[in-house]
Amino acid sequence: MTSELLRDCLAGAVPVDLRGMRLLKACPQPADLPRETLTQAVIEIIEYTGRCQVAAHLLSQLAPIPLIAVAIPEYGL
Amino acid sequence: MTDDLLGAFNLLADGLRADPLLSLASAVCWLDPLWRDDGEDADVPYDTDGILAAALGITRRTFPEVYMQAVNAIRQGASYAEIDRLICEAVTARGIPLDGIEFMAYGIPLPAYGAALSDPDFYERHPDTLPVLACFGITPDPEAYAIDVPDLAYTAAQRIAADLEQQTDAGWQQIGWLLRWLFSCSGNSSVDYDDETMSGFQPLAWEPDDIAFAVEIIAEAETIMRDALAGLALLNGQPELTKALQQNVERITRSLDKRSTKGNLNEPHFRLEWPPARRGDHGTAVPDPQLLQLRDPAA
Repeated sequence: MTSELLRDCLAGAVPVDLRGMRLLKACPQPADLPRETLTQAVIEIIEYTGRCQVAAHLLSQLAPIPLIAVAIPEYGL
Repeated sequence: MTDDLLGAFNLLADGLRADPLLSLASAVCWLDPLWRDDGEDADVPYDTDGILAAALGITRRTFPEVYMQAVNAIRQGASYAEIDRLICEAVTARGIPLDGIEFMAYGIPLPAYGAALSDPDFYERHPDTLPVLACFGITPDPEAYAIDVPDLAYTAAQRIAADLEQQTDAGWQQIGWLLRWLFSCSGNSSVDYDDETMSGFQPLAWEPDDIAFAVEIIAEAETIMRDALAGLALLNGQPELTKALQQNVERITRSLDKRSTKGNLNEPHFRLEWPPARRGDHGTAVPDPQLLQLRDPAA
């Protein structure tokens, strides 16, 4: 694993498309949101939050990955 | 991106609050996160998270106020150990002693005070019971794998306990409860069964009727054990009482022996004699700290 590869991985992640984000861009007043649309958007964002929590938990459990191509002169031995 | 995401959260939260129905639904989910309880708690694996989920599900159905306290504590960032302690203390305060929430999923945990006289370990844990058991001919061999307790000892103990129950002397009544504990004939499951025996029974369920029953059993067991231990202290503190007990055991044993030898099926009749059991040293008044606290020194 190199820093370039890590950066490419992160940059290659497809932006998530959430209904809530689209609603925000459309700038409606909260009171004007249709109940069904609002419900679906809330369910989706809760599921997304859950997936993020699971991913964060999995990442926290990963074994350390040596970044062999990264030079850190400040801490050189 | 982060600002957009937070903005979306805020927009949706505002939208929920603006709609009365969704606002009410949000309040339900917030106050009662397990509102969709559909009886699947039994399938929760016994890992840490599953144990807590099961405990929350049980408290939600049985002690809603405890459930609310636990949910509130979780929201405030309490650790697993803190939630565990909170639930255990609250359930214990309601009459069911609980050492850990991991025991909840099996059913209502009943304490098991039972005296396993055939187990040599019992005598190591309760060496102070040796003198009273010796009255019944039970002298455990520490090297033995299991102690053989003759049936006659159980029969004699039951007869003596029944006789002591009729005595007006509270000290002898307590000694009667001691015998009922030692020989597992109190009629209370918590007093009569040890852990191993208790584990062979289906535990009571976390249902209102069973909870009330368990609380009753446990409260009675604690009273019996208090009396039994007081009786033990009384016997060990007054050798003449142990001597009187031994003499009465011998009377009963002789009577039961004759009955079995002659094939007589009638109930044996015997007259037992009990000297006064002084509670305290030499019959003097013994201060009771609990009662003394009720008295106002200034009064």
